[in-house]
Amino acid sequence: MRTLTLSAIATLAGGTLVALVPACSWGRFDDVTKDGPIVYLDRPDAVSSLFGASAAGDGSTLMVGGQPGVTGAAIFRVDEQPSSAPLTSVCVDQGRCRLVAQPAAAGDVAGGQHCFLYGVGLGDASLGDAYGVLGGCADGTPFKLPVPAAIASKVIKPLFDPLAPSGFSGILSVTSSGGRVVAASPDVGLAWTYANGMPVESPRPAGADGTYGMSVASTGALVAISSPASGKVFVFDATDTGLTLRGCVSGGAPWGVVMRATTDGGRALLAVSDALGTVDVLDLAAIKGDGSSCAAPGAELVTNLRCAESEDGTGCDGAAFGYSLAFGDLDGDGDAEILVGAPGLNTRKKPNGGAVFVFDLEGDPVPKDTLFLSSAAAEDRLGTSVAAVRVGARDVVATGVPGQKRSAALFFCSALGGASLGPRCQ
Amino acid sequence: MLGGALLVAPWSLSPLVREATAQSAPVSQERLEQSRRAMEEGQGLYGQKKYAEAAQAFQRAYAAQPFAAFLFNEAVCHEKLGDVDRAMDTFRRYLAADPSSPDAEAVRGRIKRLEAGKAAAADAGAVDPDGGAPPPPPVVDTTPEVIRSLVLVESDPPGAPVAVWQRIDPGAAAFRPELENKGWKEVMTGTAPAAVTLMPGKFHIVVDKWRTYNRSETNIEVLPGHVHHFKANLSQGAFMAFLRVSSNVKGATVYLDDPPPHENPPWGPVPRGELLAAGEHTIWVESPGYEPFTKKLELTAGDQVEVLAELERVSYGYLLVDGNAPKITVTVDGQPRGVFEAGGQPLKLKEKAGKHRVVAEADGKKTFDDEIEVPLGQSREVHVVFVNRYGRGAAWAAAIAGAAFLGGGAFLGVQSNKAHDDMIADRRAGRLAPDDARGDKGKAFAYVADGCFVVGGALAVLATYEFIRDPLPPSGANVDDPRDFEAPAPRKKKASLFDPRIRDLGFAPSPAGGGGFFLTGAF
Repeated sequence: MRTLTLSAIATLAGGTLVALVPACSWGRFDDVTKDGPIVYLDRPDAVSSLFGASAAGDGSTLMVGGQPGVTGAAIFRVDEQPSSAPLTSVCVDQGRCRLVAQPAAAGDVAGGQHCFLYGVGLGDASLGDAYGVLGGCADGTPFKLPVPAAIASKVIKPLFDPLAPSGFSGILSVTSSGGRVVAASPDVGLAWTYANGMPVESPRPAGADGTYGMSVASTGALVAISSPASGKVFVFDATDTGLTLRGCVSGGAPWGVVMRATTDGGRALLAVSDALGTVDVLDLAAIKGDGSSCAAPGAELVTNLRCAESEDGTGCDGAAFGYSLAFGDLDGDGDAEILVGAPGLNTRKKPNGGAVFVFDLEGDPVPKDTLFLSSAAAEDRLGTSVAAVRVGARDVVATGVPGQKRSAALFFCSALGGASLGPRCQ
Repeated sequence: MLGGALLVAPWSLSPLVREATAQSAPVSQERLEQSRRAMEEGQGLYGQKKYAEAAQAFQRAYAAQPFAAFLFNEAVCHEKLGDVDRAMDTFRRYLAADPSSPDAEAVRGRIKRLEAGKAAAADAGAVDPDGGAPPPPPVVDTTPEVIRSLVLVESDPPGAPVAVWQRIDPGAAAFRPELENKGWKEVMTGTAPAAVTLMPGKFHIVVDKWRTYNRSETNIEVLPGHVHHFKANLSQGAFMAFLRVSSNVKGATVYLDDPPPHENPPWGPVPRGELLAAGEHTIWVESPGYEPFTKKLELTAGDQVEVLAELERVSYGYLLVDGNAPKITVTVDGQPRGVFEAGGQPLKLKEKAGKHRVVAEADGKKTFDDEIEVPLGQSREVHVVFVNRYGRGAAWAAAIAGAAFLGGGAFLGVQSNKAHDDMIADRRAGRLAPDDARGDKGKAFAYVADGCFVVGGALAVLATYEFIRDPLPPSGANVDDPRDFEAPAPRKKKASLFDPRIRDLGFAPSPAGGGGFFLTGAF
């Protein structure tokens, strides 16, 4: 009996010692989190409202902003060893700048590098006392684009006037492609481009509703402007003289709340979302018509994306699938993948933890990857904004986490595989 | 061949010749025994030169049985003490008690010498006015200072003629009644029963042919200061042989012509002697713990056969196991052998002689385990003294607590490992966040697990120590010295003609009905 007891104790002790060896190494947790694939970006002190609610990428530069209509954004430099501190903070003077609903990379609009269009207002004092679309570059250089008088008076000015009449959101959307900036305001149903630095207004096409201009997207000379209340998307050719309507498609309200466009393999693609679970990818160039009668996408439809539940992501019905969209080449294969934010997805049983679905436009329209935070917490709302940032030979995903964390996260690795996953994922 | 069987015992007679003794009345065995003991006591005291005490012992012997030999010895003691008057008086009583004693003349001369010595001493003390010759020297008793022995000769039936011959020439041939027997001297004739006072020496007793009985005779050697008792068992016309069986084992039982399983009562315990009819006989000598001894004998009439049965121990022995526990399970050499229960007889185990590993177990007690020697042909009692097992409550408590800590540590370690593995998986999947709560949780698990391991290990060591530690002594046993097997259970008695306890001194008729001379004695 005694021998048996001693043997049992020895066996138990021996068995536990096996587990003891790794368990002793609590430092390994620091090792594994050090240089982890996700990098949080610091929220500037000046940004207090939902930092991460908007984002835009330009090459290896990322702009993350707060809630549209309020103040605060920051520009970050992104590489394999990114700094969580911003290069610069922009739109911090709430008396002179308010964030737009849809910021965009400005390209070489301002003649500089890594510049963004992020707000409206007066801007830096050096830029004069006229309302305009505000932008800034990574080196801290601000710039401002003029806006039509109606926009200045009816849309922008009220943002800074507490006594302004209600009914105007004061938010507009901008896009830039190939140096051409397109902006629109749903408040006045007006879109405009720029020619020689001056705005060229384009009237609201027939069939558009009062939400015309809720979202704009452009790639090359093709511009799409949505009218989500009627579920219509109007497609234009952008010229120096303005926008020329070339077609319209309809997907049913509120189709078109969010749009993004890119050129992939010589094909102009437009991603249209209703932010309620439907994301359609269209062949932008194939959309034609006079705009008076918009039809549902037919041959133009490249693919239709849907939220997909998994062990880690559940609750697609309220996931706000398509709340944000972005294109990027995550696997570095030269072909674009589309990133679809779903901030209402329950992540690892955390309600509204949020996620970003990655779809490869080739093949079956099923998610190739689902990006979420291992530290997902309820109401993180990851995926409220999403952008692709170039790092090396591939893009990494930047997404806003405006909820509990009020930050933005950089996902350095992609489950899509590819040649350049980067050292952080090894 | 003698005209009857003759029992011979190694006893002696004195050289003094006498006719039929005065003490011819039947001898009381009890009083004879008293006189014998007093005689032996006196002889011992005399040898130690304690003459006064010796004289008193001889007086007691005479009081018990008035044989003249006791008076003679008493007189010698008085003479040694210098009490001439009392010595002379006692010698005179001796002569009066046995006037026909063979040494009567010598005793009378001894009395005269004592008287002369006494007179000379008186003269030496008186004044001689004439200055005449000095008084004569005191009479010196040249008689050897050897005290007498008593020899009693009886016959059954009484009245047979008895003659005692003394060997006066050490080189004389063996006594033959029909020959001249040079070197032999007849020192006593008489009729049985007879008592004769003799000095130490070699003698030959003859119970002559009488009526229809055959003659019997024997050689004897008389030792100083002893009472020898001889009894002739005469038969009518039958020729007998005498068989005496002794053994190296005291009290061994002799069976005569009764093979195992014995149907009849035993012949008797050793030493056992008896007249037997001539012919073939078989004896079995048995004693518990010994291999039976058997021997076939061919007895010829008149033979005196002495058989010494050398018994050898059996090759096994018994262990008698008991102890201070209600129920004891006993194992010998790894084989279960039985259970002892308190209040019952000790567990009796028959084992081959030699050392055996004996294990005794009882509930709640420490196991007794020792090597015990099983005696050859004997029993050995083993009284196991159990000691309670030392309580292991503390050890078990420490072990359980240790196991709980170790188990908890293992569980937490596993959880820590799982958290780490999950984080690695998330890292590989590109979703690992730097603020992943599993990192802190995993580290906390690791901390606590290591703490549990330390505490659990300490408790395991403590438990091991407590399991090993035992301040109580081991169970032991009181092992008795070997003792002989108990006598076998009494057999159902069949008709018995005599009590074995008195046979040595009683008349024992031969089963064959022969006559003979049965001599027994003690000294």
